[in-house]
Amino acid sequence: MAEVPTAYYIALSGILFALGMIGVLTRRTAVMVFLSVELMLNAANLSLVAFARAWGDLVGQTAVFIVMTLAAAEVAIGLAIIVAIFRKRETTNVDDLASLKG
Amino acid sequence: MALYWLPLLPLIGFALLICGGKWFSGTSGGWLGSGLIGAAFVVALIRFFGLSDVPAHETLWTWLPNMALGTAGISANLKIGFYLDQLSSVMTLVITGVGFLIHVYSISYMKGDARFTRFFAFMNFFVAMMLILVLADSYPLMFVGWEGVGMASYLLIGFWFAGHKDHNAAEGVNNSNAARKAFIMNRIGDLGFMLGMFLIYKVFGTLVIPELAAQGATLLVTSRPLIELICLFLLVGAVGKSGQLPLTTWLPDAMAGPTPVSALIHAATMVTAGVYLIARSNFFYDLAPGASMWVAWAGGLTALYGALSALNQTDIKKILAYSTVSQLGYMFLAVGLHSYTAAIFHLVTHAFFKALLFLAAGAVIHALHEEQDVRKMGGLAKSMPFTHWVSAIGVLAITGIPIFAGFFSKDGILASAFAQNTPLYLIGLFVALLTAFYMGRWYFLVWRGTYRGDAQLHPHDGDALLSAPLGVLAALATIGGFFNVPAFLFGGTHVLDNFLGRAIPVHEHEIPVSTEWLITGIAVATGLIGLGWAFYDHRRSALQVGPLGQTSLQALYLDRFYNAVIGGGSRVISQGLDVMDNGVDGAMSGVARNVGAPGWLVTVWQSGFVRVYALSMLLGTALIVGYWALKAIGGGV
Repeated sequence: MAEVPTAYYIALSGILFALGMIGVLTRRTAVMVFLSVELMLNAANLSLVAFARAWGDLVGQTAVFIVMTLAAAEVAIGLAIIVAIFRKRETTNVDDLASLKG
Repeated sequence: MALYWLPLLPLIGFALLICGGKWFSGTSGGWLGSGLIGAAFVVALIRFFGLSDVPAHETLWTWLPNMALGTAGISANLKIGFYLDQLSSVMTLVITGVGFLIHVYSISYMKGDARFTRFFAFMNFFVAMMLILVLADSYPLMFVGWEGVGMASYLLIGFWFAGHKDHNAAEGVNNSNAARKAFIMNRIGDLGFMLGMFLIYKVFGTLVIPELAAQGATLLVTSRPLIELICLFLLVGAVGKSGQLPLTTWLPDAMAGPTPVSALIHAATMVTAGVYLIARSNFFYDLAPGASMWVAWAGGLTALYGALSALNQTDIKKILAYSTVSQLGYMFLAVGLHSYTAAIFHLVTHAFFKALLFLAAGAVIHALHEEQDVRKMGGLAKSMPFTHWVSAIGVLAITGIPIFAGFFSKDGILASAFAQNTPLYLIGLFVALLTAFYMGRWYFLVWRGTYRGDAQLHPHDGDALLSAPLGVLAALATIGGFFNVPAFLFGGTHVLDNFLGRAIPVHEHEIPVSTEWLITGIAVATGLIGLGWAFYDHRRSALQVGPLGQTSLQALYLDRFYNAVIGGGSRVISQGLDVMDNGVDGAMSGVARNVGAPGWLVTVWQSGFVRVYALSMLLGTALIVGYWALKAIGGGV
């Protein structure tokens, strides 16, 4: 089985990250923004894993676990915030949530 | 009777009338007020007859007792004490006597006024304060009375603050302004009085008048410039209170008050306080020839100013007001020449005939339903015979026609001026001529000729309450002069001079009897010429417009001058300060704005839109990454 070059993983990671970025910038629903952020995190995880395999070192994989844990915590807190905001404002449109502007 | 009863009786009246005004219906408040002044007059009489050569000095209590103890290097004699010598005794008699007559007159004059009881409360307060002023044994206590009469005059001049009978708001504003003017101009004078007091205390360590007077030796060794300065400070105070130049313009405006107030302020009380202050401080002025000259010249010039201003006035009370300014000038002239007794004598006779003239004018105003313009009067002698006769007596008295009171007192002043200062004598004589003319003009315009006013009115003499005080004052104006007949006339004995001489120094001037006759003759002739001049103009029907035209009517433009120079000056200064204030304020605001502007730029960034923040993060990251990338490429090359 032919070895998949690391560059392919990095390219895929870059595409996923860009898709996530476009999602963050264009979606208005907080939940979708959240999903896109997850996509970006996982794109980063993918490149971490790819580098780890390329250098035969497990440190990169360890970092992935940390990122996944952080992402889980972030989702828990973030969804809680979104639910609270929805109860208060009956919307999750991020453009309507501009109360903290300067 | 203890001395404190004198001011206490009117003060009781004031307290009762001001606190319990609603218990006094109808004219009962007026009767109470008058009765208490009458009672004070009785006390004054008892004390007058009980006077000995030793002045009565009664101490009541001590102000700020801890300060008077002499601890910590401070000791001040702050005792409340009343002092009655011949001078203050005469003053108390005049104040309570004439004051009583004016009060009785007011019962009728003020009848039907919405604030009848309050009027008498203020009048009683006025008399009480004036009595404290003349009875005070120390300058601070005198200052209490001094300020008290200032306050009372403010209340009384502005008594019709909403217009007469509360129906003319514009007139009410004028009345209130007149009251304010009197109050403020008096405060300027008070500053002088206070500075004088401070200086006296600094130099002599006491403010008790008898103690100061007794310091003969200390006074003599005190440096003369200091005493001169004290006298000048006191002169400023006296000038303010007595409406002398240059602080004279409030006095004619004070005519805004009800007529009895004019009579009380102008004749018997407040304005004479300045003369009294200087006469009381004679021990200073005797040692201050320079300041005394200032007093004499202030008096002489004010006499001239008042007389010139009176020539063409059209208001029946304003003529008398300027006449008061002028007559007070005579008194200042006399005290300035150290003829204290002559000044006090003129003060007393002037109280009689000027109160008489004011009250007569009030009767006319009353009869003509508030008409005050002499051009709309005339021929009233027929319809108001009694008032006419007492007015004629008043005119003869002020003109200095023999046997009437003014003849003796004015003659005394002119004689002392003749003996000491020829220019002032000539001014005095000229003023006598003008006085005779404008009083003659007043008399002919009001009483002679034909009636020029509203034909609907049927003027007649006032009721008994109005007439009785007029009668008494007319009698006093007729015989008052005989209290002090000069030696060369009818074997006179200078009764008043000798009486006052026990309290204040009499500086005899040596004039030969023949010269004295000549002076008297000239003075009488001057008076007659003035009256004749008025009569001649009356015959030509030329009296309505007096000499000097607008210049006299505008009182030599002094008021306008003050308004332009002092009023205008202060306005310019205030505008300048306003500009400066705006400038400072504007500069500060500008700095604040400039500080705020960059902050505002950054606040625009904080739009609150999550996606904008995300985009800026992206751009920022891209910038940083691009930088490192460029650096890596550059480093490679």
